[in-house]
Amino acid sequence: MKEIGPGAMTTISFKVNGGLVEVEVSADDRLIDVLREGLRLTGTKEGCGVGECGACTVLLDGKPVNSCLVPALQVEGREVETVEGLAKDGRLHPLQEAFIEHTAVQCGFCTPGMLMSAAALLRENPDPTREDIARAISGNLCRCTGYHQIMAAIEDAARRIRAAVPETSEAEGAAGTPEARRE
Amino acid sequence: MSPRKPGYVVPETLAEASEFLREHAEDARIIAGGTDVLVQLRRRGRAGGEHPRWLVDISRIPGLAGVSTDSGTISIGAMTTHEEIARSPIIRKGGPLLAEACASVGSPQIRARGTIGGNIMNASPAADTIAALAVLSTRVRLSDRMGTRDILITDVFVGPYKTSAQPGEVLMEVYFDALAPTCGSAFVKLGRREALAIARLSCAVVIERDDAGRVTRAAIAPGACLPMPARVESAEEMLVGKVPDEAAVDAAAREVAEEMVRRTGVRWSTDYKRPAVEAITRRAIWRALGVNVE
Amino acid sequence: MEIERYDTGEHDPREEFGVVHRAAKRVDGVEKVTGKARFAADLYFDGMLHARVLRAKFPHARILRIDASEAQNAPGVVAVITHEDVPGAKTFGPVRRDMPVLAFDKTRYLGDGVAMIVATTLEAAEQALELVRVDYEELPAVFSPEEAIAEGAPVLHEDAPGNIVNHHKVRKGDMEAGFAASDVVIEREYRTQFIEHAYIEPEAAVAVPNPGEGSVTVYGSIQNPFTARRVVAEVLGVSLNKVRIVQCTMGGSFGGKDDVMSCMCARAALAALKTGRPVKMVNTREESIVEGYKRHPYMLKYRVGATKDGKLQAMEIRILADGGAYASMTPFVTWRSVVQATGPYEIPNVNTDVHGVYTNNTYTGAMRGFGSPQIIFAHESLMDELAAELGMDPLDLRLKNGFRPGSVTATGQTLDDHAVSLVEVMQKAADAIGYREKRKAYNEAARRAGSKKVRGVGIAASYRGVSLGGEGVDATGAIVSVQQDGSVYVYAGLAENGQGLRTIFSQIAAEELGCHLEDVVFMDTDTSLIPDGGPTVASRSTTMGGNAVRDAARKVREMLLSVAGEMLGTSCEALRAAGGRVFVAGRPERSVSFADVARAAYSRGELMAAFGWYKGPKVWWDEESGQGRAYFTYVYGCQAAEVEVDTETGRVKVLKVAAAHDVGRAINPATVEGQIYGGVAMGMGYGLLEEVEMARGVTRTQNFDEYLIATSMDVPEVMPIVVENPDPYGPYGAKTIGEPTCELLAPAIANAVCNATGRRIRELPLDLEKVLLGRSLKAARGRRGSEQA
Repeated sequence: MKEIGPGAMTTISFKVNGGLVEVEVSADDRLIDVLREGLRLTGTKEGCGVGECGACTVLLDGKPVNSCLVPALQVEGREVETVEGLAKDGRLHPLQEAFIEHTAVQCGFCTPGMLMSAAALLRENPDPTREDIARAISGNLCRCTGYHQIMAAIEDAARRIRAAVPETSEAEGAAGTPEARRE
Repeated sequence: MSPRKPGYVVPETLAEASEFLREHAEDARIIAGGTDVLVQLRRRGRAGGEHPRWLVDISRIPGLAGVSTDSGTISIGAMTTHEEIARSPIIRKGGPLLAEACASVGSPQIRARGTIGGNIMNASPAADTIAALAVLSTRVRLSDRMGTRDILITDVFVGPYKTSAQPGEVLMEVYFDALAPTCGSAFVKLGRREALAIARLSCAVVIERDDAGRVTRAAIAPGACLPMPARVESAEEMLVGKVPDEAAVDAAAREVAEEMVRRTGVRWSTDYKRPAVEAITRRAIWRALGVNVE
Repeated sequence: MEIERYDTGEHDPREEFGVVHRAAKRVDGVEKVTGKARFAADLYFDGMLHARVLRAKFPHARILRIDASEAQNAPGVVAVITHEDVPGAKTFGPVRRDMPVLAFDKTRYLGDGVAMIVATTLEAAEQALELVRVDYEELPAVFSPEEAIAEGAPVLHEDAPGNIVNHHKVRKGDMEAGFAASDVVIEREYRTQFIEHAYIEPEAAVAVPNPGEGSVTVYGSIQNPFTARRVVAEVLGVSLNKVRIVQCTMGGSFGGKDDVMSCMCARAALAALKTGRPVKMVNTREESIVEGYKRHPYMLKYRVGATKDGKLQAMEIRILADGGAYASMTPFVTWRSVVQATGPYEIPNVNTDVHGVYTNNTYTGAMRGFGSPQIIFAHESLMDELAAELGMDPLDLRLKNGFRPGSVTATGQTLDDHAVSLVEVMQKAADAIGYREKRKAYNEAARRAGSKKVRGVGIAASYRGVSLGGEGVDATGAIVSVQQDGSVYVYAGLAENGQGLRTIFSQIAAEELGCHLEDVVFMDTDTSLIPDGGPTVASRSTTMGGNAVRDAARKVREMLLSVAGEMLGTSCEALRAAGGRVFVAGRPERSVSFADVARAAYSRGELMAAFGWYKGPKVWWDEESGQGRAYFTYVYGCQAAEVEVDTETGRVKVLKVAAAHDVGRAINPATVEGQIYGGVAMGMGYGLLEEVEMARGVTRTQNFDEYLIATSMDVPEVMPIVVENPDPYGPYGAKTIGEPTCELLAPAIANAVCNATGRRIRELPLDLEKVLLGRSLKAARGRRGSEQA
């Protein structure tokens, strides 16, 4: 039986965005503390600390969880994905592209958590209905957007992933603007 | 090193967990999915807060998670998440109202972490699963170093956020008889919003009828309105032996509301809850009878 | 009905634009979807300390003694800071200087900060809070405006006898004659609740001491960097140029990150200067809700008279606003209320009094809407009630009295220099929701007995003054700076709050310069780089800041065109710049690239940057009569809601919303729609879900488990209707959209619920209990205490 005495620290290791990390934690450290303070993966946001706003959503073994409600010690040996891991090889994830093109981002604070919930949905259900989408992001509060453009973006990203040709999206044509050259 | 930080143990067997919990009776808190415990830790020093010296993480004990069925009995391990229960084909067939109740919990993130065992042992009067478990006549199996004991779900609770579990006892699993295919059931929840909603009220109903349509068994449990989760037998009896018609259903629903007032006394919310409980119960009964009245 | 259209003078409405008037992608999109955008809490500095604030123990108490000696010696503690450490002004405030940066004489609400612990870790700071001993003498307190203005009530601020923050009035016509000419007179009382901005990012700031004596830089989640700078400098007792405020990416504000952030910045700056190290402060959600100001609860009494054919004759309005412990923006918020209190209707005789009142509740201030959602709930409920009394359709009553071109407002302003499009927006919203058919059908359906779920439709309309109006100085600036490779920096005195300002300003700069949008980089707002451009409030960014950016860009363009003229051998009058090229009008093949022009200009030593400034058109206001040109222009909006009411549980579901808003011109239609969707969700929350419950000064709803905002599963289908009647003042005719979107839905829902059930609810929010019982149970809860289940 593993035992860490009151006030003591211990080292855990787990995978973040594909890479193995080792961090020192205490019993009341939460996954979000490890990500933000320990690993400086500050894309994961804290909005409420009680699992209500979803800004801290990450994937734990592929499932969306509130990282503010996961004791760091429970993550030992498991796999965590954060918003920083969505883009691969310098290419944005189709969800990220769709969020930009559908103006699904306003202040951007809920965006990372929202993207992770959406990513979990699309892995499991590549062709979700609007209701599926609304349900999948129902644990992610957004105060700016009223959710509609977010839901449209997720729908569009699902289409792109299914078609596997992310370059030619309908939304891009509709927006009538050239591809952003930033980054 | 800070004296305020709790210790953390990760038992590998139930026996280890029980032993540790017994030794640290008042000082230890079991942690499973963490969705309640981490909120309570955050609130330490304030109302509803906790400050245990030890956290006992039972999430790595093998065999505590999963749904199984054996000769008509469905067992759910304490560490099974709401999401797993909501999706389980066994539950959807043999206890669909429990699947509905689990699907109505919080949000996808909470459902992915929160466990049935945690939902029971946290003993919140507004817990979504408990009314459903009550009408399924669910029994819970508690384990300690001496062995196990099984009690009826409704006997687990002795007050809001208080259970009858003894120090050292760990909830292992819950089990109930699968509903017969002819059995009707329903779970109806009223929240202030569509997701992330604590139940303002809920009601779970199971009804079994004979070939003539006569009710042979009825179980009704309102949620979020009784001091302790319970079935309302006096209302159930009003249905048994009858071919339910509007008058019978109305009477049973009214009885649930009256019983609520008898058990809670008149409170600030009674003016609202009395008619609303009646309505929610009526809907749940009709839905269990296969009639959607909403 | 034909709507008169106004020419903006410079731009034909049919004119083609290159970059504006298009759904351009947000320029900050990539950083935000990758998690790279840096919010204040994401900043780390070497040697950084953490600070926590000890809050007041009583909502009203005299502070007798603060003993921090034990806390001072606690492990990890570097400094304990109290009011005694404040070198400069101990109080601040936008109108009245009544709010302490750290309480010294009294506490006036539970969010007051009494002491601050600065420690090496957050945990050490948190633990040491318990070691600060504060001796209080508890004082009698007041928790409602009615109590506060009662004879002999305890006084919060000595210089405000009777607890009055301010009194605004409007006097127009002859009330006696007006009511005498009325066939129908009704009197109604309405109430609204405290609500919370609920930005998902809690307040955060990091102060870093600069090498210069007494100089500090504060990075933060700051809505109005210049306001924060003034407060920090005053509290530190240093000149403005010693304080640099850098705005981080903002996780939402909605009016909420103003005073509370000025205070946090000042506290962090105090701590940084005292310790000589960077200090970070981040509010928990609970602190954010307890400390941060709220939208004012209003108590509104309306008396209205009309002839039997529905012509409004007189309106008498009495409003009490709960200002809470400090004045904050109450004088300005209630001023907008007094101007707009009648709604967008022609009424010859008006008499309005609005009082802002101090109480020991959480203070109230700016929140999206700014004094309009409360009065709109009242006047739009009232219009429906009056229509019922007259036996008229509510829409017809509004059409009969609604502003038209040339109408005169309650403050005596003639609406004659912009498109008065009230009728247009009302008709568009009503048509989109199917108001006429449904209103009738649902009335009949409701009459049919037995139905558990009934449907209804309702509308609400408003007019809204753009920008600050008579509140104060209305001017702002921008810098456009072209680099030698043709890339562009834009700096502005107004700040991105998440609404899309960077994108809009970048679009305007690109439009004027003729470059590509992606060549423009909008720089973080930094008070050391740009003159004070006033606050980012009152939906003034696009109108005011947009004009300033345009002014700056035009100056640079003029220089670039003269260089291009030399390059192409033509006069610059013949040149056009668009799509990254400068070309001869009508002969696009004779062109040079924008980058080449920039290079040429650079090599000739031209000044490639310009400063732009825009001063709003003149407004005036007479305090005594409440008459004047309150705002230089107005927007008109109407929202229609279709609801379903569960008559057995009181649950209201909003099925559909049509939102018609005249924005003048949509610089970016996609962000305009985003504002509408977001405002509708917020308006729905105001109508149905949201309420900060305060019981004797104690906030009950401290986190998002109890303060409920709409989730993705709650939002209705929304039909955004963007109406464009270009305005003579805004850039390209653009006006405003941020605030009008969230001020209309609550009354539209209340009206729809009444249409469905016949029950009129005069108090927000329309929660389960009120809809089922017709009355609130909250007061009873206060008496009997809370219950678990």
